[in-house]
Amino acid sequence: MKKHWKYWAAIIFLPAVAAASLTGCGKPAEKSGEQPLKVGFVYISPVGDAGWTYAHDRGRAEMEKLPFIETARAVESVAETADATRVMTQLAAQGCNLIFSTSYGYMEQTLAAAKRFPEVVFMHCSGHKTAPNMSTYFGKMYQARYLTGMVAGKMTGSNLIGYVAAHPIPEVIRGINAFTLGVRKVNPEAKVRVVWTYTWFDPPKERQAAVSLIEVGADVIAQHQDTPGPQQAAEEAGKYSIGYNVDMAPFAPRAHLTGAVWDWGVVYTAVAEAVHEGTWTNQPIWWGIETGLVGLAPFGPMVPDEVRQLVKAEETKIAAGQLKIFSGPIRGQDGEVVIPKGKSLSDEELFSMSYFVEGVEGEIPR
Amino acid sequence: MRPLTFITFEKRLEPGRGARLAVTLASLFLALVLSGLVILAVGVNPVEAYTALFSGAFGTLYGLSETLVKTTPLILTGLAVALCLKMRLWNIGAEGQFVIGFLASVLIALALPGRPWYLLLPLMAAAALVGGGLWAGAAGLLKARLGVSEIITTLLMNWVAILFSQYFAYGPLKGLDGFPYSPAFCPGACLPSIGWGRVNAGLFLALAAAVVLHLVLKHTLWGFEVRVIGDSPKAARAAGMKIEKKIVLVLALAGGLAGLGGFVEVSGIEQRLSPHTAIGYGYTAILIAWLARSHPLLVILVAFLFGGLYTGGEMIQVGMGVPVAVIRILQGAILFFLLAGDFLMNFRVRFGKKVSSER
Repeated sequence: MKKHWKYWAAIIFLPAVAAASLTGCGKPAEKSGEQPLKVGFVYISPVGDAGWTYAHDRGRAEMEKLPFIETARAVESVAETADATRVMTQLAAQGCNLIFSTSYGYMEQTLAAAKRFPEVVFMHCSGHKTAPNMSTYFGKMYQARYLTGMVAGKMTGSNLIGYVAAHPIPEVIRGINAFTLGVRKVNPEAKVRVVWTYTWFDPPKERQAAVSLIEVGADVIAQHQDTPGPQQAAEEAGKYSIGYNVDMAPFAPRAHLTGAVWDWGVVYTAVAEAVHEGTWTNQPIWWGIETGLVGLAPFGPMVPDEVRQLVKAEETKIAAGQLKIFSGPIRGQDGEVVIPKGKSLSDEELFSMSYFVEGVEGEIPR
Repeated sequence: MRPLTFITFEKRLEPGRGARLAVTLASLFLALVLSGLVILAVGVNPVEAYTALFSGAFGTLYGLSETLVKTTPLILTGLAVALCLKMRLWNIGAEGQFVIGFLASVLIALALPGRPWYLLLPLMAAAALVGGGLWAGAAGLLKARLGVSEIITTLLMNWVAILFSQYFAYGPLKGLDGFPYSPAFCPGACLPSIGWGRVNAGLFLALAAAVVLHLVLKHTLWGFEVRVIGDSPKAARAAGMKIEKKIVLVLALAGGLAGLGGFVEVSGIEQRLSPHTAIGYGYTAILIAWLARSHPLLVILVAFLFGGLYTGGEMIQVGMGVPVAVIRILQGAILFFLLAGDFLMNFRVRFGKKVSSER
């Protein structure tokens, strides 16, 4: 037994040496500014290396560069349960005067925290409830989805496009519909088949859903998920893919056609400035492609020039307000007209969308 | 001749209480040292981080109240696993039983809106108890009648329970805005707060359940039989105990306890159905029951510590911007060292060729 002290010493001290050599940074955040702003973020998943939370964290980092930001701290992997109320309470108690909650499931919890801390500004992403000190922010991602749909419609050979979707909620349904309208604009024969995963963040499950879609003949995989799992499945199977959240080309260089991406820094910088200058109001933020909040990832080398120009022309029209995506006539899954000619959907109707348009194969749970 | 092995384990004599305590504390200390290095590596002073963890979980009135909020369901799910362990049954399904109890309470609360608490709360609790009990009892029946491993059935039934509850959240109970949240409960369906943060009457229900279970196991014939079957099924059978019947009953009772956990969580805290009812209380319960050596009163203590680890871990993130991965490493290291310490306390490790058995 006494000979084995070496093993134990190695087990205990090797990590110590390794960790000590990594130690370093930890600089104090000292910035000038008359009224420093402490900002808190609540994230649904770990930041990771791609996806929804990663996109928000890039926006956070961009906002942090503003001179009057003292700290911009994030709490990751907060469950959409009463846990979120505690996290926001703790952030406010630590002196945050602006708090962003970045998932729709934090709606009631954000409202509860906003009532408790009336002097703190709360911004809830993708919800629809406001208070005097709480508002919402979101972007018209469906515009970018429509454009990516056009690319997918042009590039599919089997006329079956797979769509790995997280939860059957209006945001996701709106995206699937816009995507499908884009697909069918350039390819009326193509169909979009939807698989629900019931999770935002589960790399193996997202990948498995994509694999199952490829197995039934899909040759382009789109996603409304938070990780590049579906992209990697497409890459491995030699199919094409459409990314989401951030440019996912690094994860699937041969598959990634383009993607619908967020630039949250646009919103975070604007809101922080408004709060700092005292001009903030609880008017909800609902910005389109013209602001840069939503947009397209760079095209992959396999996308022909003709397709790129077609999409760019459509993008210009959307940005100029000349093209509204949900304007009639649009048919529902059963072929009946759901949006009559001459009508386009209001924001309220977009926010509560709960049906699929023609060309989508899949079901919304009732 | 047994094959030569490089590492062998020998059973030690039963260690005393003092030794157990010393090993547990040493394990905790080593876990904190190891995690401290990781915390150091992300540029945060580990001593400050641990101070923030401790004071966040136990050091402020608000933190302590939130730790108790987390402790409440953990006690009940912990008991659900501990009771089964007493009979050497592995209930991996506390998560699903919790969800069924949660869902059953929701269905009662939403079916009878506006009714007084003295009608609603007992009905919801009973529905949760029966729901969780039937859910686990089914696994018990399969074990008793057909010898199907309860580890497999209870585990697999978790996903059935979760999908079942998600069906209601996304389907019939979905909100008018298309979001998968049921309407909020009426006041009569909510467990009363005790006037301290979100701590509610559910805590007393959980504590009472632990005490009652302890007394039943220790002082009744029924409890005696459970312990005998756990220690030696052959002796129990020779003594004429009905093991099959006990398996079903014990699993059903355990499921009822986990179901009650779902009831206190929804009635006391969440007060609505969402798709996120299963957040790991049932799995954490397995660790709690193991570390508490399936002693009901120790379950209370261990559940409290786990609750604190959770809320305190959050505080390091909130206060110091430490990434969640580091918190997970810390929580994982504590578990790893506690379990390893437990193992090394019971077994002696020998390196090199196996010789002792030939002696």
